[in-house]
Amino acid sequence: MEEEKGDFEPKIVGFTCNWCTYAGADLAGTSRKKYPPNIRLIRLMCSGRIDPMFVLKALLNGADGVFIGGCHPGECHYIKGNFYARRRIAALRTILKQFGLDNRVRSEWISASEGDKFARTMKEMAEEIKQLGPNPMRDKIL
Amino acid sequence: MKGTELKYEDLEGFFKGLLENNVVDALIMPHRVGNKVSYMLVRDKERIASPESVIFAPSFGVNAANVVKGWMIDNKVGIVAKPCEIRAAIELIKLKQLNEESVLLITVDCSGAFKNEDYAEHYPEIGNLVDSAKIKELEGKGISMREACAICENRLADIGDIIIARVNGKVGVAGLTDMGVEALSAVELPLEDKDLERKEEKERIVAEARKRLGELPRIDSVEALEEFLRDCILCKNCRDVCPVCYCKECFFDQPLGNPAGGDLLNLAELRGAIEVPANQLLYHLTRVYHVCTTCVACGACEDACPKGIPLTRFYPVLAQKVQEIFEYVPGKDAKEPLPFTTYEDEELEECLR
Amino acid sequence: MAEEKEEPEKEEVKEEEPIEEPKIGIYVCHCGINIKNTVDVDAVRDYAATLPNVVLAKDYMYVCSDPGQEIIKQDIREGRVNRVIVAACSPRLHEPTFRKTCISEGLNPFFFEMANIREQCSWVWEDKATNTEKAKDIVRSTVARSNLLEPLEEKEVDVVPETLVIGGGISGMYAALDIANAGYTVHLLERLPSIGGHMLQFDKTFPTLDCAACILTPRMVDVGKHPNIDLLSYSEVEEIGGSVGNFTVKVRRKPRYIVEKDPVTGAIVCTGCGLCATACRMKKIPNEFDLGLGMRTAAYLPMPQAVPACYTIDPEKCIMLTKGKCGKATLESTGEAIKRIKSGEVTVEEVKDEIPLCVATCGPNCIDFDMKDEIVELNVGTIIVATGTDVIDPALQPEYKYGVYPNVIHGLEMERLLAPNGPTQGKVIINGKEPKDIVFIQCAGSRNKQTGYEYCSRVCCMYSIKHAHLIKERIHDANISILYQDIRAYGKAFEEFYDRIKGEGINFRRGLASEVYQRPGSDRLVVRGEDTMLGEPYELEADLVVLATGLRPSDGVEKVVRLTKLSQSADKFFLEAHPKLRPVDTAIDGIFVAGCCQGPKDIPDSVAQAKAASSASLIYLGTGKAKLEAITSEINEELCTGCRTCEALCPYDALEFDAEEKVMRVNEAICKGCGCCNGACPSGAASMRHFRDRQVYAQIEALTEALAPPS
Repeated sequence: MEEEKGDFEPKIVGFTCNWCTYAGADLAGTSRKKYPPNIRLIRLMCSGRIDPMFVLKALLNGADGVFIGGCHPGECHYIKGNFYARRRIAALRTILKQFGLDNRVRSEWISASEGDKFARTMKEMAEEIKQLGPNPMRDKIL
Repeated sequence: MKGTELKYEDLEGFFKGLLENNVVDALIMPHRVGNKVSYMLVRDKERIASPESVIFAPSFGVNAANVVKGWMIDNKVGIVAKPCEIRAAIELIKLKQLNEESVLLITVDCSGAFKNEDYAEHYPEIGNLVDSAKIKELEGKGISMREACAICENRLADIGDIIIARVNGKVGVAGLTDMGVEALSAVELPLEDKDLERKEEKERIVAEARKRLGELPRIDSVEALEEFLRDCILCKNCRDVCPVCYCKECFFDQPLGNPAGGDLLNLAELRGAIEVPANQLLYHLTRVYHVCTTCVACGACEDACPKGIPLTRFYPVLAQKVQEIFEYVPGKDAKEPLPFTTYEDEELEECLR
Repeated sequence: MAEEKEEPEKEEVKEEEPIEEPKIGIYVCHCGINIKNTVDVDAVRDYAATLPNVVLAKDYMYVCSDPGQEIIKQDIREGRVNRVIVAACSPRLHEPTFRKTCISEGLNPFFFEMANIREQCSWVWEDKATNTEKAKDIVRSTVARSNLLEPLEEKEVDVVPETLVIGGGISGMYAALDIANAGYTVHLLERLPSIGGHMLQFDKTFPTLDCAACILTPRMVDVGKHPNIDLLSYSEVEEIGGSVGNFTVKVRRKPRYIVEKDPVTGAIVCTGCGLCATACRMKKIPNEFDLGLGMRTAAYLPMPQAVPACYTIDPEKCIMLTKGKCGKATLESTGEAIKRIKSGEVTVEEVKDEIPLCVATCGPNCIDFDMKDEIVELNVGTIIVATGTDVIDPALQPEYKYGVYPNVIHGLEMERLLAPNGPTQGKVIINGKEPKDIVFIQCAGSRNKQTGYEYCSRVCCMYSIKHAHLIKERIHDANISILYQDIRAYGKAFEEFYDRIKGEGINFRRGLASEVYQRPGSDRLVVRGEDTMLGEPYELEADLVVLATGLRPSDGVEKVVRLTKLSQSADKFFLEAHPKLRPVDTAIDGIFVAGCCQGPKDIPDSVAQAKAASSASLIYLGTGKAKLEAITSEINEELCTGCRTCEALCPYDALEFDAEEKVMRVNEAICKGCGCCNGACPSGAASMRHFRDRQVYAQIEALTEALAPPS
């Protein structure tokens, strides 16, 4: 797409739990909070469903950023899925950090009532990733 | 710990005793074939000859844990191996790929090892066992230890059921678990309180290992990673020899991880062009994630790479970073839960964003 | 169009094929102007039509409206489409609507998908061009997923129309009454000889000062007499199996050694006359109900209002049961004599040396020392756990000297001293005399990292204020201080009550005591601490120190955890399914929590939760059906290595290890479909229906498709 050049618009893939962050994203919409249209969400039932391989796959396919959203710790719809998610994402980001890719992955706990936080996070993330520039993987045949 | 001191040549009687007294039904232990050291599975005690000349030999071929992976048997097998191999066995116990009750883990002090082919080639110079002075001397001659061994912090036997330590020209044998102490009693070793902690020596090894780790070239960018894996042909040998890779069918042998034919054409259509064989980077990054808590840094992956990619700089180095955030040392204790199966209510937030 | 006509024939041929080739219909909604204004709906529709297996793409003003749904129905009915995508609002809003649309035309509802182009697209950005691109991406991702969907089955199980309530305190009683009044059988289990719980130990209740016994005992009688309530007092749960709709429960009824009811006719045998207690030789047994402040006999009724009003012989205290002998009578002689009395062979008088005093005095002849444990098996559709609370051990704060000085007591002991049915008949007497200077220390045990009870117990502020008032009523010149860190008067009419009591001359001082010690040579206590309001130390003399101890889960909680596999929160109270929205549900369908076992509560909150739990139970009992989650996990045995990682993670214990085959198995009746197992399984052996790896991968591929390097 034309955005490779000067006016780089990051493509961010998000993995969110159905009960909190996805609902928070809905609330951002319902309350007409504006945030840049860089994010596309993939809805899962729980952040505990997220296999870090999803994140790797998205990054290697050229996504400029990957967002992970779950319920606040202690408020998981399935009691503790987000605790496991936190460990997995922490491990994955530790690995990615070695190659400077960790900055492209961000997790946040956003509840169904935090539409504002969702919008704010999306703004921040779009901005941060603009600063990083396009994912180097974009240019690769992988 | 309870243990005793033996002369090197007494070890033969000890191992034979384990079989003779039915402490174990079989032993997996190193033996020598000419210049080469490899493992044997031995049931007839008469086939054990001068083990002291081989169990300390600085040679690494396969990780012994990989040999017994998935042996969910009732017979009892003693495994005489280096700390990294026993650590892997302990991780396999946690992963239910090895039955804790049916293995007697005997850990032998390691001085660091050479690739088995290097060892065989230079056997006349290396000999049956080495110490740090000797290693330096060999290095001077261009005979270098495996990189995994150079950065290894856990060379002294301190895990498993029984440890066999080299102390002051003798060997210290001690039981760390009830099973270990019982085994030592069964072969009628005179047991007494024995301190084989060797704290200072450990600290020295750790300091040296960290120094060597710091000297390793880093793979510090995506470009560097691509360059590092440039020659990878996706043979997946690194996986096959890895003692803690344990899937029946690897994801990367399944259609989703190893797309072929029409699936591959579809992907090529979506993305214009794709690298084949596909998923090389994904394979290594996923694999390092899969083993990041259990990797014992044995370096078997590097030895197995037909393209000579120094995988120690990738797998063990990255895994160690992850193990640090969980304050987890693989293979320390079979009772300790695996990091991905447990959690703290408040933790790791600094690693998420 | 040509394709459409060919499809049905293909179907005929491929009857073996479990899933037919996808024919996806996409319906792009304008949502009036909500979407249309900021997304080029026509462009999205035209783009959608080009995507794999999309056979038709339409747009409509309001797809969710009747005519909108009718378009979809018609397309399904006429065989044009077998998968449906509506690009409109959030699935959280209208997925259920459109799933019903699909069901009405015989299409499996799990072949329906929504592309959320309103909440997550048209409403959050204004630029139409970028929004349209985003909407296309979302649709592309949805189509990729739709192509890989599988039909799922929503199963139902029958519900046994009975409930087990564990715990006969105020919560358990109210839960039981509601369900029983609705016409269903309730088994109400209480481990003590009588129901009633802690509330019966109170004198008055805050803030209204209702007499606790006066409002509680009629309800206890209701429970005892209710035809639909099977009261299992003096009983414990031994085993719980099964799942929602049909739990199998084993209950152990402990022997009372006094026959409560005729096993055949059900007629009351023990009349509760109490002659056995009067006759009993063992008279100095600390009474649990009075927290040891009063005494009882070995044959006893825990309190006068007990339900059932049946006496119990304490097997640990009765010398006949512990030593086999009471007076001249032995177990054998007693057994023999009772038989002969019952047959009319002899009179009580004739064998009076062969029987203990209690037997001799018992008119209905209901004492039976040979009574044994009895195991009762129940089948119930739902379970309500209401196991309540106990007092935190005040000795955990040794600086307050509880257990060292007799005039340091805790809040529940104060209740007993105030209660007219208590050991002092409601007179406040300590060390044999009426105390004048009384100091309350708040937050004893609670809100304290050292004791391990970090939470606020929610009732202690109000009960201390109530105590202060009740003491003032009895001892007009009492000098009462309440040492607090915060007064939490959060409930209805609490603040007003606090205000009123402040006006009664009670001295409220901010700053908890740091220590309590006895003035040498007297039984007067000195309470020292720092007033954090004035910033100066204080030293108060007291005849009585009352520790406002907090609440902890009751002693039986570990056992219930083991039996039910319910989770506990960090504070060890039972964990509800969601802290805000599902406060009485638990992780296990069909098991609910009520009252203080879920967290400290006052009486109205406990009753409210009990009624909520009964209402939640009644949904199952009333419909007679329990829906099982269709989106559950599945194990591919070919891939499973039996590493049991998933078993360790599953919040519901839905995964069990098959030791024979060395693979995991999913109990689909329990699985809730979170997918934690799938997220952890390295080989993908654990696979989450409807969110399978390949379905998620397809979405990732679709969303990153446009990011391929320019060729």
